[in-house]
Amino acid sequence: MSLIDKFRLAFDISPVPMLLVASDGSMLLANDDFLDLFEYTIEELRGLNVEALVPASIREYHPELRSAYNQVSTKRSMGAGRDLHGVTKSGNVIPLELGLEPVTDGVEKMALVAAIDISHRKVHEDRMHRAMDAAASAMVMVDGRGTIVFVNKAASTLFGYDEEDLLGHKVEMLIPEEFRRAHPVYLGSFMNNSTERFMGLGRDLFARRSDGTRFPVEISLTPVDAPSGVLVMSTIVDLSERVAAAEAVARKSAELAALNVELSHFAYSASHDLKAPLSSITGLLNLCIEDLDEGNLDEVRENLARVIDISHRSAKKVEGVLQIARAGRDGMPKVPVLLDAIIAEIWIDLTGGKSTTKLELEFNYADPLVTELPTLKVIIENMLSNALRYGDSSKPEHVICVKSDAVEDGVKISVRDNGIGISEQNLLKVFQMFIRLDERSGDGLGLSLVQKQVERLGGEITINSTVGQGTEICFTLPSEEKTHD
Amino acid sequence: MTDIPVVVVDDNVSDRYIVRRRLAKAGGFGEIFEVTNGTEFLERLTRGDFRRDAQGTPFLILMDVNMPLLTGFETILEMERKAQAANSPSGLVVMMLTSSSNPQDMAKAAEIGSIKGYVFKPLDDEGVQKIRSLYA
Repeated sequence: MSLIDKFRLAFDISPVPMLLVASDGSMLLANDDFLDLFEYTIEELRGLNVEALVPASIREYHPELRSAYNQVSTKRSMGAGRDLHGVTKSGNVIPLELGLEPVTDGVEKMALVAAIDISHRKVHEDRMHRAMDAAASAMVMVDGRGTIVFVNKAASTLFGYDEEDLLGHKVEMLIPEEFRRAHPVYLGSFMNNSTERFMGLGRDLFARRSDGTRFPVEISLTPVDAPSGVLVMSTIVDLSERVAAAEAVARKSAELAALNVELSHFAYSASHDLKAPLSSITGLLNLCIEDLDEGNLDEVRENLARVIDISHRSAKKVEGVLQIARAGRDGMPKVPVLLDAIIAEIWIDLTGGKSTTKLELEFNYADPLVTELPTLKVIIENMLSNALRYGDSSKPEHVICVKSDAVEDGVKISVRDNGIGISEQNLLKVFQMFIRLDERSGDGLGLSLVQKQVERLGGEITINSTVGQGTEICFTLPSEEKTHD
Repeated sequence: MTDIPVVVVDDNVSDRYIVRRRLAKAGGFGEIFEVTNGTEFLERLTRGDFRRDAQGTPFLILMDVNMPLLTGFETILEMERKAQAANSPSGLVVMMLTSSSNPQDMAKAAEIGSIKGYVFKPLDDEGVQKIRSLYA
């Protein structure tokens, strides 16, 4: 029996469409399934060259491919990984998977071709692609070596690439540079132990867009069995919004904490600065009435003067607290302010212009500060008033120095004095509410309030002190651009 | 009944003045000592300034609740600690002086054994009666 006869027998029982092609491209033998697939009769097929079955787009260089194959004929799947198509008699283009095997009858070289119509598989794949494209989450599928084999629309959009710029490339292109080198190791270990899970638990993950910018992500990995091996499907969630929302919540919490301090301040003030003075006033006025009846006019006069003094001081204290409460609630417009003018005003308020304390000013930051004027006034007043209060009488001169310096993205203001200083254990408590460190202290809320206000304005406050030498309090204010609203 | 000797501990000058005048008008009170803060009070107590007077009447301590550095409550607690260490009761009658009716403060006062009561500022006849009833 000739070789061809042997093949004819085999073809007839093969469930797969098969074709025997000569080295010049002429078609020698085909089984019924093959003929049906391509819609030819055997006579028609024998009159044609195999190029007739090949799509027009590659017909031109197919002969070249064939002769290359003839030189190095090995069994293989043709065009592995590429989409192959054939053309039927009626011009239909059908997707195919093709297997090639060299055969010879000792004289002639021939090729055995197995052709499988993968239209169904294609339809199925397309359906899957469309489903994944419809998904809101970005999906990227890679093979065991990290080559991207599939991306959905959401992934293209998220990373800012066209599909074709991603397919066939290494997945490391989607990772920021500093993490790239380690990634293949992680991928390798996942392939060894592939279970559905979140990627990089406990690590902060970042991805890289086409424009080079990076963004935080959460990635879940699922192994997928494919004919070509295990693939990894990753679903990528952009966490930028979540991170921004968390930061916004943190900011709100800080604002609320500040408001809470102010509310406590106000409640304390209501009790201390209102109720207490009122009880003193009541007591004094009751005595006045009795003294009037008894004709002790001198006592009356003195006590009435005391009443007036207590009322004034009380009103001032409460007004101060109210101002701060209003600032915390409504925020305030930021205006350019001149530090030296403010300090001069506050100094007169605090000392009445008569003080033996020497005030030194050193403004290294020349520009006007853009900030909330009343809030800055309260901060400066608190700091100056503390410095005034804690003078060291054993020193020849009480000196307070106010300095401004430019710092990275803002200005730093410091108030330094050569007073009695603050002990280390008190230094830790100095920003706490309600702690009054000695009888010279006011309501004990001043510095805690100052701290909250400075922080609300976007700055930081620090305090340094040595007992017997003096104290320095510094706070920073960010420059215009940096403040958040 | 013999005159009651008094120590008023208060950082506010007007409030001390009011107490002094009220007690003087009410009568039945002996020498009135003024102390401006808790620390000074404890120092003078240790020095023996506020022992029972000649007639054996225990001193009345009117202690302001709200004071800087050492609050009224802190002063009393320190006093009790010292008395326990020395193993001798202080023998003083303590009443807290305050302008506020903060329930937290009142609860605290109830927990401290030496505190016999509360007097609201400004000191008035009702307050004086409260004091007298402790000595009755």
